[in-house]
Amino acid sequence: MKKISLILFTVLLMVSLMGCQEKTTMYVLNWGDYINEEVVEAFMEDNNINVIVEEVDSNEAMYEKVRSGNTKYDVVVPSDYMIQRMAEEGLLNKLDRSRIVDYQEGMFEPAVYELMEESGIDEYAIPYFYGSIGIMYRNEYEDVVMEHGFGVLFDDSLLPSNARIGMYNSSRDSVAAALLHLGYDVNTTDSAKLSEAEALLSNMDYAVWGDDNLKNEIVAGNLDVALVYSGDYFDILYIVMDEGRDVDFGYMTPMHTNIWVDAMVIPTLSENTYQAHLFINYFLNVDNALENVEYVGYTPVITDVYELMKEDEEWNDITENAYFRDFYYQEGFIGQMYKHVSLEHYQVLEEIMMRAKMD
Amino acid sequence: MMTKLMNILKWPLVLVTFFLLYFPIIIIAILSVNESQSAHIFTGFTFKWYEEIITNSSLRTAIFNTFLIAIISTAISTVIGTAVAIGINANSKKESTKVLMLSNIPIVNPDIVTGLSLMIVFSFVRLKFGFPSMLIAHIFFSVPFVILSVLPKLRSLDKDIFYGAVDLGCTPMQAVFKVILPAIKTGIITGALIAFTMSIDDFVISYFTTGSGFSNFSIWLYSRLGRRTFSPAAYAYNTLIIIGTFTTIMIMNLKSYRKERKRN
Amino acid sequence: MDYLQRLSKPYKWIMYLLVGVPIIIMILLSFTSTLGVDFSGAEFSLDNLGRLNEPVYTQAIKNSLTLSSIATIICFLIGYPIAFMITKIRDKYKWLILVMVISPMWSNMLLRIIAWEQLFKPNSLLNTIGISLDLLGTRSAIIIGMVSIYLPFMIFPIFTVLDKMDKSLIEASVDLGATKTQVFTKIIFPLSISGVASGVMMTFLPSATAFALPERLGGGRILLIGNVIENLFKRVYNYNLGSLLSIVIILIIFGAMRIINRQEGGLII
Repeated sequence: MKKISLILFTVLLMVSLMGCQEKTTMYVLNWGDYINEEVVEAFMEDNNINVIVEEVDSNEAMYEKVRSGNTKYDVVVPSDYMIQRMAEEGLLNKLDRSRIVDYQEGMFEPAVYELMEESGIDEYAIPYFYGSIGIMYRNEYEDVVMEHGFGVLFDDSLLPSNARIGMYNSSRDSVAAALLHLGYDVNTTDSAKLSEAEALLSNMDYAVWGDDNLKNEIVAGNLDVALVYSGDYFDILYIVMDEGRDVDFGYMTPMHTNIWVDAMVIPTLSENTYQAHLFINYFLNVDNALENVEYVGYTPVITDVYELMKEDEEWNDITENAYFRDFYYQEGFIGQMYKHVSLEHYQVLEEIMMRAKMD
Repeated sequence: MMTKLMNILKWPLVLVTFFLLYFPIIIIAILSVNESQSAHIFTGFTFKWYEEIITNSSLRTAIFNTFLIAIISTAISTVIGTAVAIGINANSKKESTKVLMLSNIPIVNPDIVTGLSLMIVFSFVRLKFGFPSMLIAHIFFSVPFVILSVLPKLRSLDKDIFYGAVDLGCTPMQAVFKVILPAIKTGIITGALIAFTMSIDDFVISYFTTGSGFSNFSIWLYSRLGRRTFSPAAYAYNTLIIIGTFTTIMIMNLKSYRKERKRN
Repeated sequence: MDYLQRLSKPYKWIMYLLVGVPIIIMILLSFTSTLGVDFSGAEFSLDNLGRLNEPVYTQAIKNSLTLSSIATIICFLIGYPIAFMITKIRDKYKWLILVMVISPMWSNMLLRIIAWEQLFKPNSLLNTIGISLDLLGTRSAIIIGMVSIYLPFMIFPIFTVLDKMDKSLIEASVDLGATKTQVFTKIIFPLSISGVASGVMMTFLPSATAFALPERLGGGRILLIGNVIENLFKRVYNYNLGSLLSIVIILIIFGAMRIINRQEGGLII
């Protein structure tokens, strides 16, 4: 008798406790430290929703995790071409604009939104951050880099013979830089054009093929110029400025370049699409977005947010840097966004990069 | 002649070994007290990164998760590994070679293959990805190491010890616990230590078998390396681990040393 | 016997599942074209087999095997004498030295690799003590890194075998007139072979398939099979070619291990 009543009591207790867990939990998949936790916490409080943020370090990892469905993510933040790929494979929900109440036409910066509309991903995604790829350089090479842009990465006569050049260890980005230098479309699959790009890459003997470490090596003086993302540049700029060290390096991108976009999407496997829309909407509120931008440090996608930053004196050093935002709005600037071409294309690009590395 | 050669080489070899093993540890320790986040310049001496181990919530969680998985997986895999080793030892040569070969495969497989394989199997059986899947993965690759540590000790035992005990009135369970296990104690402890080491530092397998935001230290590190959000608190944590291990083993050694003295 | 024998049976079946099923899947993946692990719409294809011959893959395999072989040999040349020396130490200090050898392994491998990078870069912390090397991106850097990481794996098994060796055998041979050199070459070394084989296996295997270490210390410049496979799986999402390459490298490694084992009397696998 005692045993039965004990079991009964435990079961009742457990059931009643389960009933108490009415709070929904939603899952967000994002890049490492790419969101202001305080804004997320505010969202959790305002809406009585629990949010768990998981971090990955690549679009491909995001793809794999979303596709496998092992965790049913509600909001994911992939980049341009990956959004297109996920959409084409039916992995994403079209966004329900009626549930994103703070969305207004024209609220987003044209340089990024027009590109999203052009490739059709605006139906699935709300932009989050954007930027360009370009060249980070040590100040003594500023003139050469300003004059030749991507050329410094492919013509070894422009820099002293002992100059150390860094290339991004990504087949897509390295080939894109070569294609842009040749004046071709970054998404081309024309094998003749790709061969030309491969020849440029093979010809050069890069000191390092890296990713996040390239920016650190420029600052350290172990590299003289390198292909980097604008985000990389700002990341290290903030650190160096905060530590009160001299900024003896710079970043530039030419008038024809690649624009990258990270945007929020809702996978079809999401079980909390209502909450997911609420979450995305939260970051369209100008105050929340500003708080987020000030934490992450990359270029804001909402025009009003940028205007607010410009008014804030503390951000002058950044907003006065042309490559934070204004450069992309110059007459004649052309930004190309990556498109998802095909898996075979990635294989081709990867082999181009591998052959370029062979001695 | 050979001995002369050996004698001359003795100290250089020791120095080279010490350098190879400890150079990275020393650098990490220096970086852990560097005021700057950048690794190429030493801007000042500080202990603030040590504080940050506790204040940085994502790092704190990652460290906690790492130890949680390591301790539980080590405990479970030591039990399983010892049991299996006893089983292997008791079986015919044919049967035991079969099981041994199977058990060696996780060791010889490249991490990425093991990680991917487990991910495939777990997806198939719809296992929840996160703590449960990572735990099972860690147990999976730890058990073989325990087996390899315990087996040689078992082999050196007298074959009849088990039957002797049973004959003298023990139940099989009692015979295992009171006779066999104490005799192979060092093998079990070594196995557990190796399992713990492998689990604490694992990256690739954990990376493929996690989900739901469950990260261990290696995953935390990899996803933030080179980014602004990387924190030298990682160096601090690492240095503390080394110091902690050393101290624990020294204390344990002193204790057993004192015991020896008492006996004598 | 029955009671004890039963202890290993369930494990056997679980392992068949966890090890056998993925291998079958990988073999299937190697000869088809699929979307990742999604077999719907899969077609049989020998394309990937043809791709294997491309210079990039053969060079990657060659590079990996060469570098890890060199690293393994260096580990052996350093590790064996060190293990030997440790056995000669008085018991109470033996444990201390062993702990000192193993404790770097508790340090995160990625952090240790970053630490080595500092030595190889021209501008780094070490400039303050006058060191400025330029070795990042060279094979030497990769080898030094590999030796640093895997040396304990070589020392430990050799030490275990040497330590347990029956001292009376040595005494007997000396009594029978053997010189010190002969004692070593004819008695000690042959008896320690199983330890050497273990050490070689635990050094060669992981170093041949490593990717983080060669990628960072090699400055991303040197094609290695670990990185190639990882990129195929993660970046290109080509599980088919990735699986095939993995199987090829496993077969090569297993083959090399078998040859070593045959010569030493087949003790490990």
